[in-house]
Amino acid sequence: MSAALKVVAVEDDRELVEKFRAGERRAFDELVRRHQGSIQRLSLRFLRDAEEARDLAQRAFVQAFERLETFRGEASFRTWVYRITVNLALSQVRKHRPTLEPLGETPAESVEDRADDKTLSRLRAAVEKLPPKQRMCVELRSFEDLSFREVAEIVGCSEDAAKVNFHHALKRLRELMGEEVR
Amino acid sequence: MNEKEIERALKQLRGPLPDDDELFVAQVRKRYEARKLGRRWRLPLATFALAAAAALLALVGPHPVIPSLAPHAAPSHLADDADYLDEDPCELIGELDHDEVLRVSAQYKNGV
Repeated sequence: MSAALKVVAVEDDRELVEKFRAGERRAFDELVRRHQGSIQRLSLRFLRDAEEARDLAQRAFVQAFERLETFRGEASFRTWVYRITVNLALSQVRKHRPTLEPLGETPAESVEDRADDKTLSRLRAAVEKLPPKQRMCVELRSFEDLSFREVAEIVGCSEDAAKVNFHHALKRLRELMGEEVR
Repeated sequence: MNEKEIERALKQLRGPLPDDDELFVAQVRKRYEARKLGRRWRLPLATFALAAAAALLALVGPHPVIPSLAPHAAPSHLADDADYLDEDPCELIGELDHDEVLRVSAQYKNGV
């Protein structure tokens, strides 16, 4: 998506948020429709159970709309819902499980220069070994295509810290992949 | 693997986006509206419950104040007599002659 198109999408979200505040039901539906895919996928990555992930994604949307009065104008609606989802997911994971669940087998998108399954499997295992904040930065940046500013808002750190975390994560992944080859 | 290759491989790890799901949208709307309705009733219900609790406490609380038993109130069985307290009991007697007084006195067994 080009930068221009991205800006238009963000403006559209803001317009929809304003319309929702004015009581337009269609705006509510459109905001959910627009972000439900990525929010469900994000939830699934934490919970590894489709039904639980769907329930969590729905709760995240409900909370987002309920708290829309405190929604800051400078943040995008997408970032806002992501943050709520991550908070709910972490809370649920902490309550029921001691650590983040493994990434598990997820069907990969088909690309021409696709890494082989063995490499992907090793990479998946390596991502699971990252410290939680680094792992979160990698997942939000690489899996969700978020900007560092958005990653920073969701994780709750500065943009520079998000960049540093991502860089350290890649370095660590490279080391882990190299270690396994040796 | 260099970092660029790792970044490319990471993108292959992400799962596919779920299809657009109108049922999901409807379920979110239903949950939101149910909670909104719950919030709308919460304040009136809380007010009503508080008023009911206060009324109950006034009736059966540890130190109930019942008007008929208040310290300075006349007992209920004496309430009718109180109407006569303003009258002068000697007034009628003064209008009677001595024989009448004796007769009335005898009827009340010398109690007057």
